Amino acid sequence: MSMRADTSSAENLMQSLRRGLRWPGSIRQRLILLFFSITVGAILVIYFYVVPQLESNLTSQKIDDLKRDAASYSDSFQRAIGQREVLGSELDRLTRAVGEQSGAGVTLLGIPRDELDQSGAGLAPWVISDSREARRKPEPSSETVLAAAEEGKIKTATESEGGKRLAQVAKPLLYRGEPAWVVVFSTPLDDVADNVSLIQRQVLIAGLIALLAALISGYYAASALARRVKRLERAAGEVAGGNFSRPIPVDSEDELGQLAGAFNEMQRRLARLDEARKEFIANASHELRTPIFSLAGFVELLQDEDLDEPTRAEFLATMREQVDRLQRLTTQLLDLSRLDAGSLDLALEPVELRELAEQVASEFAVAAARRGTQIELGGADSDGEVVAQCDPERVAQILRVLLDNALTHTGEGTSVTIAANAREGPTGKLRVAQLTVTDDGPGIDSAELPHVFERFESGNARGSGLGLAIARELAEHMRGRLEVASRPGRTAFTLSLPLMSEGGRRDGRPRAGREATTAARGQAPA
Amino acid sequence: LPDKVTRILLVDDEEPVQKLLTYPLVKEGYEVVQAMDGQEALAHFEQQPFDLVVLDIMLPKVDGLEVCRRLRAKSPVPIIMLTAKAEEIDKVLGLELGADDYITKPFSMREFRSRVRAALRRAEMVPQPDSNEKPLERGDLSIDFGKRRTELRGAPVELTYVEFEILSALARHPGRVFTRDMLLEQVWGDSSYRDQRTIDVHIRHLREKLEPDPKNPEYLLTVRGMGYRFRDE
Repeated sequence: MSMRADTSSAENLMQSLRRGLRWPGSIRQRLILLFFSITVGAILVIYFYVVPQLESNLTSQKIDDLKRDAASYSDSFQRAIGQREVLGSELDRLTRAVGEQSGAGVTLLGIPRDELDQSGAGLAPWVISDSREARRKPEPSSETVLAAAEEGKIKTATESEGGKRLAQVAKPLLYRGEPAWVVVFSTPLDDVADNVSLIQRQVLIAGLIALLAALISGYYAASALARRVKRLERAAGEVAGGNFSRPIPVDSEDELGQLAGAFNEMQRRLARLDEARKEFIANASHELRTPIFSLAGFVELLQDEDLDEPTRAEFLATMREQVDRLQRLTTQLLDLSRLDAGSLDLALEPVELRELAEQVASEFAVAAARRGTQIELGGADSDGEVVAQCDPERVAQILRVLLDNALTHTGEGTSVTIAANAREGPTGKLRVAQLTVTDDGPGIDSAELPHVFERFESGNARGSGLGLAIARELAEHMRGRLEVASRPGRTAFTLSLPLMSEGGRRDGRPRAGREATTAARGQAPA
Repeated sequence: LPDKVTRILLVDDEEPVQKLLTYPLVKEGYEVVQAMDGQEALAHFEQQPFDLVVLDIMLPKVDGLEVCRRLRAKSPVPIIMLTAKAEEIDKVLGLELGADDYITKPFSMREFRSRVRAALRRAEMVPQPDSNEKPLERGDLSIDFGKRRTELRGAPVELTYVEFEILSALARHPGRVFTRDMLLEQVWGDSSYRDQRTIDVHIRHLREKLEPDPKNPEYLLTVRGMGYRFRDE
């Protein structure tokens, strides 16, 4: 029980630790923390790596000096060994002179010779003479001295004596091949320690100043950054709230400046889209409202008035037209939303265009005859087939729009021609299949001509102005084009589609799609 | 002269709307001339006199607001505007346009008839110069009811027909509170189918023309929760 409590509390601790170790929330805090850690890290590296390195370098430099001294002064002692009867006072003088010249402490020690081979304990080298004053004379360590004597080599050591560190170099002196004396050169390492602690202090002070500077500059840099980011955030919030009118000032060329520029561009495009959307909704609701208003009015008259039969019939006919108009409009709006959403399904297949043109033209025969308009089929080379890669139902829809357009915008007795041909494409290489609907009506006003394919652009009040817009988009979805050329007396709409084949006999396959035929029956014009 | 046929110019670019609005007018015994766009409307107006113009705002070629402005420049003929949006009221009733009335689509045929009748009745009531009625002087403002003239510091102020009617209704009884319904009744003869906001819009325009500070009016005072009154001192 208590164990479990312990583990769970440990888990809690770990979790809270992990939470605590996670990056803080804001960019400002993160940047300041980053600046802080980098500076502290640099100080720690200097303090715990560079400074000790420096200390050991200085020490080994001292030892090297002592080695040089040992090499150059040991000769005078070597000579003294040769004379067996050297007076102690002379040796004292010698060590003192060498000590003065080298600036190091010089100690001459004797080695208990005969016992050297034996592993007896308690034997220690004895001091023969010392250059230093008696009271501040630290004993050279006997291990170093004995090791130097035993191996016959120079030995170095640093050791502490009474809180002071000392560098020592012990050089054995041989008498008849055997080490007899050892001369020890030593120097205090106080100044090294002093220098190192001074450097440590200065590193700490400089580090604190750097830390402060890093925190302050980090704070300001981070604040400036955070302010600019905040501005972007606010602007984005405004766009999200539907306000597209306020661009962000682009105040620099850096990444944030570029972001602001990109953001402004996005805002401009959104504003255009929003404008277009509002306009579309306004236009669409206007187009829907008018027929609904007149339908409501006629219903009221039919209910309230004592209408004679001809007036009643006329009203009902007008209402029928308005209902048709609403139906057409809703279908068109649905088509447009599918085109916009890219969810329009096209069934592309080889389609013989002449046959398709004939079928659609026959749907309009009655309406054309009523207006005294003739619809002719053909073109110069009217015998061969023109097969295009397209969706027959959609091409029929485009043709209906073009024929309806030609009939409603021209006077009585106009002649309308539909021709299917294979032609050089715009690049000259690829040949394209073309369907052209031409009329000899009054033509489209030159000011209006550039806008005929725009949505809700209608030359008269009867059409919604969506037919040609949809027709062009359908053509483009089938990798085709729909273009217009107009002057008084001749208006030609040309639908270009990818060509499959041309020529051949007209009774062969492939044929116009079955769907086109059924669609044609279902959607005869009023 | 009493046998004269009342002739109405009906301007709308929608065929079914033309057909719809023509029927009740013809049934009332008026002669209706149809125009499909602004240009045609102006051309008809050049050729013959009309007793009333019913004018849609959205028109091809010359829009309804422009047609209204041009008609008003040369004739006091009553004009009823047909609007699609309530937000257009302000523009329609505005100073420079001077339409007499407006109806927002969709409206019922009953409402349409009532508006047309009221506009024609108003036009028949030709203002009789009444020299007995003394002009009213109040501060810098002087109103001559007989001559239908308003002056501010000696300078004449242009008021539309409806604006003058509202002003004189209030000013003939200084201090008396008129509700919006009472004012509608006073000006148009009846208040049915009418939007009380119309009165507020006209009052705002009047204040802009007459008051030194339209935000703190001196002459045309608002009585909260009731309506308006003219300063009685």
